[in-house]
Amino acid sequence: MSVKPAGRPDKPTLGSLQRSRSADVRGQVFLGLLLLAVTLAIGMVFAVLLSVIADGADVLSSRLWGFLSNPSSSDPVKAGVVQGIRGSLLIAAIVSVVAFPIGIGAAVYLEEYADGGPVTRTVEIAVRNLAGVPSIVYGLFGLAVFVNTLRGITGGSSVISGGLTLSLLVLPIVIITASEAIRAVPSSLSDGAYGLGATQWEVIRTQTLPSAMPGILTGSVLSIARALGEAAPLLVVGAAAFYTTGFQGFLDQFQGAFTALPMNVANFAKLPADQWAGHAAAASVVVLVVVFFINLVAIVARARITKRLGR
Amino acid sequence: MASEADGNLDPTTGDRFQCMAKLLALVAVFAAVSLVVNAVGGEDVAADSSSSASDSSADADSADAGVGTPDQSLDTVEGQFLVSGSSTVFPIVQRQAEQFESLAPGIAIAVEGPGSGDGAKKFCAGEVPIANASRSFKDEEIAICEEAGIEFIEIRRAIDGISVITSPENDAIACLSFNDLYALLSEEATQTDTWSAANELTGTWGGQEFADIPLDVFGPGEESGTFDSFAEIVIESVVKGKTGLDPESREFSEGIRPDYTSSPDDNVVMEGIEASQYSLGWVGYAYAQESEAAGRAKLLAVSVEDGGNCVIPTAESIASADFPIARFLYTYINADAAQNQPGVADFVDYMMSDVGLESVSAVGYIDLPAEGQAKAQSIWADRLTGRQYE
Repeated sequence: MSVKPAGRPDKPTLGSLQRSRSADVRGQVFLGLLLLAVTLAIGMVFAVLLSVIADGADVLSSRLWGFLSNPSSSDPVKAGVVQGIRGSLLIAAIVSVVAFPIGIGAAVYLEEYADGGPVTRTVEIAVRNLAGVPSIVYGLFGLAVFVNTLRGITGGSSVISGGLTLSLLVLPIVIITASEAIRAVPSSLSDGAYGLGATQWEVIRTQTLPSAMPGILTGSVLSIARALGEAAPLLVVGAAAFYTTGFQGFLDQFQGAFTALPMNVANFAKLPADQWAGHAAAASVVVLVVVFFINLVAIVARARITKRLGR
Repeated sequence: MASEADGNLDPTTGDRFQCMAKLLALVAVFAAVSLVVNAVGGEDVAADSSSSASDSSADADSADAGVGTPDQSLDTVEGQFLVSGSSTVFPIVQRQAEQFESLAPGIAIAVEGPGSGDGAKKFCAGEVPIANASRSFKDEEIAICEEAGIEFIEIRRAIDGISVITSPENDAIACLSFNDLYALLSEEATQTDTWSAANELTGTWGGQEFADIPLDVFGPGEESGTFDSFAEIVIESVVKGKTGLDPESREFSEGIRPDYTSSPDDNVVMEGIEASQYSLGWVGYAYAQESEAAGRAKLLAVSVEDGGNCVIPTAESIASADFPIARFLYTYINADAAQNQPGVADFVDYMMSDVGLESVSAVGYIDLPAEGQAKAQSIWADRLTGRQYE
């Protein structure tokens, strides 16, 4: 008890410092466990990276351009992932156009306008639970609604159906991250603006949203990364295992057969291992690079916005 | 007035929508890049097909001469459709669709392989004009087609042998009869984990005696056509007394043991076989053959009866039906779509042409014998509908 007096001197002597170290065995054990956890986490990330890069090295080094620019093929020497890259980028675009405005709008409403009553609370709980629903369930919903019911608009199993399904999948994540970013904006900012006579719309537009933008952007882009990594919902929605394009009109590009990078990985992995061993790994590397690139864009954009706001 | 208010409120005047603009710019970049990628892809498809066309100009010639290939040029035919059905047949059709693209660049074909049963469902719902199956349509599937008013043209495409495999290090076993397979893999063998445990069964009919070595079983799961076919060909033959045993002598079970390591992914099955010295399993011949060529698996000879003719699966023994575990692969074509949907008949013509048929052996399956081929050709040429094979 006398070891930790409430009014302990500011500068402990060397002796007392050593004593507290040696006495704090549990603390040291805890620190050791934390270090182990960090090492394991980082080690696994590197193990995954190294193994896919090592497995995919053959394909990537011998025919990188062909692999990136060829469509899928039954011939291991010709097979490529351009259809997957195209599908994934279109899905990212659709998610950006559909999930971001809706998600951020919902977050602004929930944080700034909603009254916090039972209805709002129910909505918030529902959103949080939706974020935990397995992705395959969204796939089944997408199959029922986008592929079958709305066939006339989406064209059935198309990149539109896939993009909309994944938009739904990430919508709760966008809402939650945007809500938290908005909540983190100091109330002094909006209070000050209100004090100067600004309307609620002006406060949200000029104070809250810009201040919350770095957080919103981070959450949004992470959700794109999530959407790009999903294969299960696309499998249900009907991403094609193989397709040729024909003379496609503008609409057919969006309503016709599609695939995405995770589907390429899954399809390659199912083929006989002898000739196709490296393809799945190489496609995985492409997914990682695309996701990394998107994250990089988010980090740079966030840094610039933060800098401009002077915070 | 609005701008005045902004000027007062926002220290970053003029930047107020920059953040939003960033987001929109991001979207624009995605859209633009994906369209560019698409354009590049399109170019490459064209480049690829022209190169493969020149690679195989001889093939193209024989395609023109091939049976049933239409005379008119396919360059301008436009159409798009989906081919569904068996995952076993998928590689054949994928390869054919790929090569067909250079002859008919306007026809967009998507190919999927969810399984024979799923393909039949979609086909009889009119969702796809062509469905493949690693078995013929079941009676109940045909009933659904009839109810929906869908007439089908049934043709055989190829033969697929089902190989019984073990690890290359397993010297203890060389040949298995259907009865041995029954003793090792049927429901009656459930819960056994040594080869010698099967002796109790084989002993009752005086069959092969196995050494006391561990048994690890790997095979495709129940959803697979390969599972169905194996059960139908091997287990049912025993149950029906086609293997020299008296089905009345004792009670035989009809199913396959549930306690084995199953996977829909043939690679996973092969990995299991390789990893265990005394493994036993079964997969399609195409997969087994590749693994054997790489020295990672051993194909076992199979006989129907105990002490019967032991046959190793090879392209020849499967085609001649000497190897007893083989099945036909089928394609079903919607008769109405063949007549009215652009591109469908052209694609089937190509599949049935000499150059189209090269894909069968190229992906590891066995060509039909000449008379089987001729029968399929004539069914297609006459557009005969309904069941054509027993």
